[in-house]
Amino acid sequence: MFEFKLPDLGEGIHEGELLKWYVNVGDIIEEDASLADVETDKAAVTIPSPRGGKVVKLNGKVGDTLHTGEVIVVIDDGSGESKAEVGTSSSKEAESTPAAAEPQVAKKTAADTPAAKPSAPAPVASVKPADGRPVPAAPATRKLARELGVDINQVPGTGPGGRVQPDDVKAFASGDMQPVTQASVEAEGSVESTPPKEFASSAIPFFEVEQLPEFENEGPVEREALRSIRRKVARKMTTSMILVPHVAHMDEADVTELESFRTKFRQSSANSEDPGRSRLTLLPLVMKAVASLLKDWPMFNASLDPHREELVYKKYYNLGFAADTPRGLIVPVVKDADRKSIVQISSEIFDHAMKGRDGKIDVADLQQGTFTITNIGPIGGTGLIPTINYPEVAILGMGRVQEKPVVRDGEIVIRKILPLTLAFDHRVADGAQAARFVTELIRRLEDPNILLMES
Amino acid sequence: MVMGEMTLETDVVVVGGGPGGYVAAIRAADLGLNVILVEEREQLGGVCLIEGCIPSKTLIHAVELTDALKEADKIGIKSEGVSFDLDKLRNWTSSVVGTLTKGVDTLLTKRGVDIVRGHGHFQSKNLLHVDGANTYIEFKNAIIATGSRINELPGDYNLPLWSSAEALKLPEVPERLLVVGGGYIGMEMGLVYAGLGSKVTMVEFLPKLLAGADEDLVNVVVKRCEKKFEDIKTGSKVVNVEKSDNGYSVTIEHDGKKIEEEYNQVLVAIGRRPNTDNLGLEELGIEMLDRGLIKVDEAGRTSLPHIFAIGDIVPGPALAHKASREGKVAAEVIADHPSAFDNRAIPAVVFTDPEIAWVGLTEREAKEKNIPVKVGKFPLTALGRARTIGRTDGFVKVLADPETDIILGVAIVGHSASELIAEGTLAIEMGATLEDLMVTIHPHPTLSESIMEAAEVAAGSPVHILPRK
Amino acid sequence: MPKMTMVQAINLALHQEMKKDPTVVVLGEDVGVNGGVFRVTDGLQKEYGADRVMDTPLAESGIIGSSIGMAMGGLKPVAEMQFSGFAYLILPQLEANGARMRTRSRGQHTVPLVVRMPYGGGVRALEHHSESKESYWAHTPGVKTVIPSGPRNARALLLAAIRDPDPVIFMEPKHSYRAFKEEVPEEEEVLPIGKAQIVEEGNDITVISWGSMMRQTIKVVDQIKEERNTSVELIDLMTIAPMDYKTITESVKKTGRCVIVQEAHQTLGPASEIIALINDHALMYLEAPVKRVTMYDIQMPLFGRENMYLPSQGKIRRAIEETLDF
Repeated sequence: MFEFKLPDLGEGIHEGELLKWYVNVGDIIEEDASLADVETDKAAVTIPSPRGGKVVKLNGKVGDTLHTGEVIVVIDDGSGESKAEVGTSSSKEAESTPAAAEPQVAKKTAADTPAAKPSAPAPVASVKPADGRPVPAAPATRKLARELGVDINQVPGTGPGGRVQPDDVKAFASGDMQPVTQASVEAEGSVESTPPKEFASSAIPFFEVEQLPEFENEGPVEREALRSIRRKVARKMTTSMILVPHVAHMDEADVTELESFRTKFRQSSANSEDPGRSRLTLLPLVMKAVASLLKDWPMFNASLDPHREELVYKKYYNLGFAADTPRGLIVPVVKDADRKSIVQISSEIFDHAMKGRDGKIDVADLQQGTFTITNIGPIGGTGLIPTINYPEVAILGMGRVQEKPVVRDGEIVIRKILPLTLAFDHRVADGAQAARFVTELIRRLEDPNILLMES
Repeated sequence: MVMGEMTLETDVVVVGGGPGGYVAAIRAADLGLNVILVEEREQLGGVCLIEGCIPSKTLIHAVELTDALKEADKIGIKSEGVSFDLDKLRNWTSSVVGTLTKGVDTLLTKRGVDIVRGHGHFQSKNLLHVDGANTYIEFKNAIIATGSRINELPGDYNLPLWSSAEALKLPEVPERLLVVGGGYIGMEMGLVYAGLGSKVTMVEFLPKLLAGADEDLVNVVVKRCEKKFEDIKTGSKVVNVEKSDNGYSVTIEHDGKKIEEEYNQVLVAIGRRPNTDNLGLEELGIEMLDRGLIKVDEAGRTSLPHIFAIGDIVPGPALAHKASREGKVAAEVIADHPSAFDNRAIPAVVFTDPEIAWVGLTEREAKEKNIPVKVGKFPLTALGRARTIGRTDGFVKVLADPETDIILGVAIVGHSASELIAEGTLAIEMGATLEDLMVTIHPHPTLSESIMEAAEVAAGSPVHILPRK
Repeated sequence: MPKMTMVQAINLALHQEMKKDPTVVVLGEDVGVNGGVFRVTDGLQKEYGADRVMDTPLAESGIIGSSIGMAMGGLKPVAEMQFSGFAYLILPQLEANGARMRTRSRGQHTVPLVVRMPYGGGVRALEHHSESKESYWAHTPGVKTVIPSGPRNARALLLAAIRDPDPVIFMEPKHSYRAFKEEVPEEEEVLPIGKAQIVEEGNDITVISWGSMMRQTIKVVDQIKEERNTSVELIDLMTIAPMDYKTITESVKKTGRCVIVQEAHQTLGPASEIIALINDHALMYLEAPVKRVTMYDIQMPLFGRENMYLPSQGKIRRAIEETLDF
């Protein structure tokens, strides 16, 4: 009998949210086969089984927070005394069967398979192929899904390689199986009714979190548990918005020269293997300019410690950037951006964005940010008021670069204009500082020569 | 009819009787719908049956037979004096085409599909006029399946140059033939005429022949073609054609240098374009994409939900088998069946010698899109059956997902690749894994074993070649 | 049941009746060798010979004169007019002799004659080939005027017309000749002349039409029923004369509202007679004035304007809505 404790998931991380079990009690698991997906801070980790054997017990259900060192699974590897499943349920989670949905499917498969098949343990799991590729399923199964009004991409497959079988579709249609969400390993989160939490009344006058109406009475709705990244974004943004007095300072930069510089550079690097060169975007240029400015404006690279009533000025310049991934918003961090070249920053941004998209980014690359840039421009938007990535004190929002008529030397000319918004913590900095900071930033962005000289 | 124009009412009007349209009409009729098929040509079957797939494959077969005979010396067959009777060959080709088009006619009429001959032109959202038939068709649903036509050589030459359609009629066997365009049509036609005795020169604008296929596949074919063609000029283009005494004087530009050469005939095979002009689609407000293609959804619906478009006029490869599948989907959707064109794989086949066929992900695409793949390549030299027919040139390649082993692509170059690719297509549609191909018993000795063997190579446990250390 | 067009259904009726009754003969311009200009008589001559399927000279009055003679002599001629627009040439013979023979001979002789003629617009042909003048015939006592609306009732009514002892003008809506197919039973099916058919029962409004206008009317009624959740009683008149006033007035008594759709000119068209009959029998039941949708009192324009002149679905819809909302 082997008790598997949740291993250290990364530097400084002591807990993670259980996203998914790949196995069910009674399954035979091979050594190194996927056991569970656990999401820490902002990345999902698949935990392999350190031993082969029969799964005797799973502690925790999807959505639970697991702590490092806790026994999360008990595997009968034939090594020791068999405690079986006798009342070892120390936590109340363990009493209920884990992962309400999956076991039924797994059982079905197990029952259909002849008992003696020790050599084919094939983890019964809904392994989805990498992004963008279609779910493996036979045409007839796909047709069945359409007939039953089921989105086949939502159906966890139990066949080889995660192939969706007709029975999976039927089970899904009858509600016996819960959907897998877009990202390969998102939580099975659909809930019928979670009893609403009561909040202690707040000390802030008038501030009260009201119960919401039963929307079911108002029209058809679908409920989804707030899990993983979504929950973390919600927590962080609420903290930031309630705790931090935000001020948004807005201005525009004429990036005509910078853009033509950038375009030229891209053309000359078109054959480069490094996407940081061949696909250089505006973001690394802005990031470099900001990184170089923060030394002179330390109040924007600080934190306010409300418990100690101290300002913490950071002497390291790690710039985060908001990245949209299939699993939600993440903020990868370019460490020591002040000491890196634009091309280095650019390559790192590409690398982080790719890994982030695939859910493979290291936890370490999501930590220790000191300032964040959010560039909504490529998607669109004439301007934005970003929310500070607490406990940082400032965030720079970039809108979409657009050609606009502007007056230069008494003449109307067409220039490429980048809308900028610096949102900052008014407890730490003041409007005049922000205005000067942004003005200086614009000076560097408007003339690539200055940018190169000063940063 | 002496006077006036009749209006016919129907559930479904299918405009175009090619492999997309006639299949759509048959499926719709079988699903209990009233169907009228509008076809411009006298014969049904479209480009595919009349001046495409079918006649070209008939000729290719003839040429391959003689090629095989010419090479048969090594296995002890004496075959001096093999030659062509062009009249008979022409008759044979047209009888093959005739039988098939008549067959289509019968399949339709026996199902009660009415055929109206003429050019369909939309008058309004529910009314089609058939020019040449004095007929209006009032329809509930329409399936546009008008196919594509041959591109002409850019430049206003106004010369009777050959298109593939003309070449397939075998007007003559020119002594020196220039084939412009090294895509699959140019390659197939070039090989036919080389086999018939022409000295063939191939000109291709791109740096490689058969640009869509993986390079390693193409190399096998090019190696063989180099012996059959007089000359292959890639990265070259025709910049001028003039009539000369014995044919044409053609200026070809390569690397900025121009050369002028004499050819008895010029065959232009530089792609096709959709027949979406002159249908009245603009007036209906149907949303179009670039290059004359019609925008459709998964069910084949255009921006007008009761009008469908299928085949060469919608995005995707311009291939008969894709059109047929889309036709079935459109018919089923009209009959309220939960159908959709959700196919994962459309096989592509080039009937060169040896043949090339591929389906699903190509190796190049995997590289370009950074998709991780396991590749298993099995050479036909290691296959018993390939030895017995003396055709060991070629290989089979299987691409699979490294994590799940799901088959993502299959590519074949070799004898009968066109037939073998079907297994790969099925594998991809079914979401099969390498294991599925490996444990399936393939008959021995056949070429089909090569797919199983390639899967084994990908999985790292090959039998007939040595595993990579 | 096989599905067939109206042309095929009429052809079937002729085939079956000629086979069954050796006194039935067919005559007209090009009906024999050529099988008729619309192919309605296709294959008849081959089957029954030139003695029973006769190509005539291009002279409508001659066709009808000989037909009346044949009918009085014991045959049952089915004469074809190529287009109804050429049939006015038969009026002297038909009106002066055919229609009067039963009365004139005090019942000694009847004239069992059918005159088939394609009529109506919507096929982009010229004026003579496009008009709808059933009132001419209906205004002649002694002659019955029948207009089918679809393949199935065309076949059944034609059988009744051939078997009728008196002259029957059988007007075939050529717009519907091949426009759509219906299931037509192989075995004999006969519909009585002089009887309208309730195509669909309903309570809120009575809509009456016939011939080629039935198709348009059905489409509009289907839409209105769905859109307004209304129940419509739809009547296919089928026989213009003698008119089935009972079916009409019973229906109007039930619904209290009525719309009539005719392709014929407005003045003294069948709709005028229907309104008069409603007046006679059901006036006190009306909840709204009876509306009629007709063609204008002008000569058929060239076909570029055809669709503006014929009763359209829009006009029919407006009339029904106004009557419902009155």
